[in-house]
Amino acid sequence: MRRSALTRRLPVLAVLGAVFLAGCGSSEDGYQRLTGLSTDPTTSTRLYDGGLWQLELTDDDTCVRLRIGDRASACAPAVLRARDVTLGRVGGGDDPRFVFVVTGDPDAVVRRYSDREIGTIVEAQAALPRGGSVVVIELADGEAPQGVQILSGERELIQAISLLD
Amino acid sequence: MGRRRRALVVAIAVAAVLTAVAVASFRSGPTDPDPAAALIELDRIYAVPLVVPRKMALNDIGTGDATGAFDAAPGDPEVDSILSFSSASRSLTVSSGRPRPLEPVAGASPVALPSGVEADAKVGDDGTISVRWVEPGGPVVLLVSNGIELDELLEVASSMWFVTPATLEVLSRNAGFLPPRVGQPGLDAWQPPGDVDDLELRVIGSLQTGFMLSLPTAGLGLPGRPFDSCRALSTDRRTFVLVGPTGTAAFRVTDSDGTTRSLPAASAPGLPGRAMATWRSAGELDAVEVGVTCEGTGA
Repeated sequence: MRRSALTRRLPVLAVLGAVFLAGCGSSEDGYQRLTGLSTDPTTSTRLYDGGLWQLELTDDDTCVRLRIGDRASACAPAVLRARDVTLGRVGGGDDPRFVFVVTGDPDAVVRRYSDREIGTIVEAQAALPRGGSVVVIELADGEAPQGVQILSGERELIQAISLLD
Repeated sequence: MGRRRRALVVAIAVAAVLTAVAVASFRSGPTDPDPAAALIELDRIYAVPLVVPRKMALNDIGTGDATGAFDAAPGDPEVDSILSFSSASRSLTVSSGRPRPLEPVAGASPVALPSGVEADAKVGDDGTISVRWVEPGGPVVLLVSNGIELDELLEVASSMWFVTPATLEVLSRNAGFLPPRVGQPGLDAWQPPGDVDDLELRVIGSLQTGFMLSLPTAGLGLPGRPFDSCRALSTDRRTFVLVGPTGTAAFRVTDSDGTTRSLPAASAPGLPGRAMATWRSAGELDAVEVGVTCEGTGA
């Protein structure tokens, strides 16, 4: 019996998602708490400066992290195949909340859905040196995210992911 | 005293009748509809595709009067559902609602859906393909696409899940997202007939992330498109789910000792054309070893 394309992609998403989130502390609201200083500045490169937050790439180009002040998220793999996706939810508690999407498509964009945004396009903030891109969405105070559509550079759906708990 | 006794007897009789009626209505209950009931009788007036062409994203979920789009004669306003999907070069709109008198579609040709239902298909000069049909006992459905081959469109047409306005409302919340599949209880739980009474079929997923059919207690997932032949799916070497195409009235199965048995098939109320039953074999068998043949018009 032939499996659907979605079913075929699920294991990839599950595995990559698990890798990204494994190093973070879990929380009841689904957001991964940042725990202490976890990036040595001498071994990483700043990919993008979002003011309150930065994207950092390790010097071997294999890992991308979201940094907020002196704390950083766990490592998300920065080497992905074109239609692979890693998604993490970072922050929570007293910290701002972020949705952090890494794809293997250098021109990917994300459509953002929440109780305040209906399909707003968010362009990638950074391209990865081995192909791929990173999109960071900062959620407003009290904003309730619903999900994201991750679209390729050709605006084909790569994956839709629910952010409902 | 005699009058009091008669009044007491009448009161007891009335109470007994009311209790019997209450128990009967509780047993038949709203969660156990007659599988043979027409979709319209079950208020399943909206069509939701379980299969959407790859790489197409949900764009919009809406309601409106699609009478004009259906090529129907004008009448009282209707509340139809309108779902739209797109990618860079393709688009698909699925409209559905209560049946109404339809006009012939100019330039359309008859085409048989995989379910056997006859539809009107029209290819426009601009590459737009539309397929319109009335599901037997159910709603009118219209697919309008661009950039999608007719075969692929017919696969979408054959994957329809017919839902009530209440279910569509659940599916439409949160821009079409539902909580992730893991742990999602699923919608439209239905128990196929047969030997096993804890193998409920459910629809898992969402309009945004796509759907699949699931038998969670068996750990089995089924595709959204109808089955094209009769076969057995194994949950263990004694418990089987039998699936078959539209028109299958029963499954004839051959057990490990060579004995055969016929099991009546039924379709879930919102999923016509997907015949199913459950079977517990006498001896242990792999699913591929089970001899299954279709009985009925779909054989």
